[in-house]
Amino acid sequence: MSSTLTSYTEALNSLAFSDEAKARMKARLAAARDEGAAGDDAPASAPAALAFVPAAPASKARARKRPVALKVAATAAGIVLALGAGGYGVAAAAGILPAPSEVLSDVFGDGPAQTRIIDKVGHPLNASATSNGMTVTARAVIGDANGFAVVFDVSFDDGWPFDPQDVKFGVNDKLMLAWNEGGPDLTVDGATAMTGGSYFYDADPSDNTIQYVVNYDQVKLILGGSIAGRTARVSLTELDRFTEDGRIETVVTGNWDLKFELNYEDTTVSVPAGQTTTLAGHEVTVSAIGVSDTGVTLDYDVIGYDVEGADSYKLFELPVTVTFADGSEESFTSGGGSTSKHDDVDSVSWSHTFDHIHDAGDVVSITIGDVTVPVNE
Amino acid sequence: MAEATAMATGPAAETATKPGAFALDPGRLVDAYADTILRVSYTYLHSAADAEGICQDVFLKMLEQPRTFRSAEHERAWVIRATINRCKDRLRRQAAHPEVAIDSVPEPEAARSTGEAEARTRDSRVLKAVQALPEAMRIAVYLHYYEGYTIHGIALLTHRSEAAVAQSLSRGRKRLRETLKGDDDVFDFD
Repeated sequence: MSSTLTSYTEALNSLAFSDEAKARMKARLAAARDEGAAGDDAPASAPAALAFVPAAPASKARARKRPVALKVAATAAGIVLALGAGGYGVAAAAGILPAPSEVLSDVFGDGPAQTRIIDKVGHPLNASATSNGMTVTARAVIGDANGFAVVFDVSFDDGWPFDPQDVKFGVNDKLMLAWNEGGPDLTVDGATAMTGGSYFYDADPSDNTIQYVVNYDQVKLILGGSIAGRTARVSLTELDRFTEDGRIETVVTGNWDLKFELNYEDTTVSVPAGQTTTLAGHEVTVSAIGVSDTGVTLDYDVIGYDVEGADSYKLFELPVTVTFADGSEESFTSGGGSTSKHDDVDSVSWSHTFDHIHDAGDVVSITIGDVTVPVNE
Repeated sequence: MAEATAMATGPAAETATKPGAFALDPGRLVDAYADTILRVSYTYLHSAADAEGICQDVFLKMLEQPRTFRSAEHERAWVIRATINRCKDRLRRQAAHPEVAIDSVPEPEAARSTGEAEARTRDSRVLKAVQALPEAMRIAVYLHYYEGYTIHGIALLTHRSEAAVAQSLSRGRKRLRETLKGDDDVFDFD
């Protein structure tokens, strides 16, 4: 009798490139390195790798100029229940009614920082907290009818205790940092559930500040209405980093509590709906399409797709491609949101946040399944 | 599997070298990471066909934009993260351009070079069961049980919350237990 873990490990161990394939890869890489070095004016003493000519970007989307350095990943901020997006979405449950402490702090003079709107973007005023030499400041709020994103500046008074460039990962150069806490790090008064994520990036490596982005693309409010104008509350207690040797290390502990108004201008452009397409062979009727500076929202009905429970993420796997005026595209196969079932029909509210902020006016078309819908005509 | 550390054990140990000894030599990169990239790609894409191309992309990225890796584990984590990103890019592109049927794409060289190994691998009922899991559970099981990462480490590598990763692992284990019920092997994905 063997063990399942051993069987799994041995099976993966047997999955390996042949010596011939490895030799082929080595030869190709060496040739590419030599070619790059030969074609460069770098001093002869410079390491060959440093003399490389950067390869063409892998996709148009990545080649596009980034209007605002807001990039989105699915690092979860807070967690109770994953909805859709194959489990990548994160729903953070908040109290249906504000907690007593929320009400009291507002009444007794500790109200939320006001937020001023400039060019659609909300700028919280004086929403900042400092603890143990680190300062967290809410810098900008942007959003639409369904969700919002907040960009925070995070800085150390005496400089970072490590080089943030050392914890860069992935094609989007996000930073492998995380707040260590058991619950959501941002709540909104009156919100019953929020789906989204968060990440760190370094907009300007030459300064002493990195950026932390919290993005919620689906916010459910107990009494409906608008997200804009509500109070956001942030509570942070510990910043961790992924160290060079692969371990998790506490950078700093403290208390950073912020409160500010979520004021921004909804940039949603409504697009005529009613299109039909298919999802896994099942008929889909699109009932609403919205495109904003931050992402895409869809409402659609799926007929006869027998998925539920853990498989309900499949209802969110409608392929969507957004095409911009410069010809670039962003494609996604998953979104977050909510579903409700009536007889044989699943009604889906779907949303996906762009890789970075765009001008919604630059969206030329959106392709949903096999149907392309013009936008801004 | 110890939960206390995010550092890779087992396969990672094969690549361990002295701090600072991380020359961007194509031979070393291929020897150290090609098979890891193949396994991550297989876990994501259910196929080894794209793995050689992904290897090339990841290694070129390392050569084009040299970065400081102060340990083998740091470098290894970067390679895994970069591979995951490329796998996701491929999945997005496949979904965005379904009209480009797989049959119409020239067969990559890797399909030939890995075919035999893949055929052997697919004989494993356990691997089949893991590969049948949804993506989030599949990659969590792979990174935890094969690469040796903790929940926190997986969360950082996959840009998900720890709770979401823990949930994926828990659900993955539960599904595997059900799928492998009746198997002669001792179930030790715990």
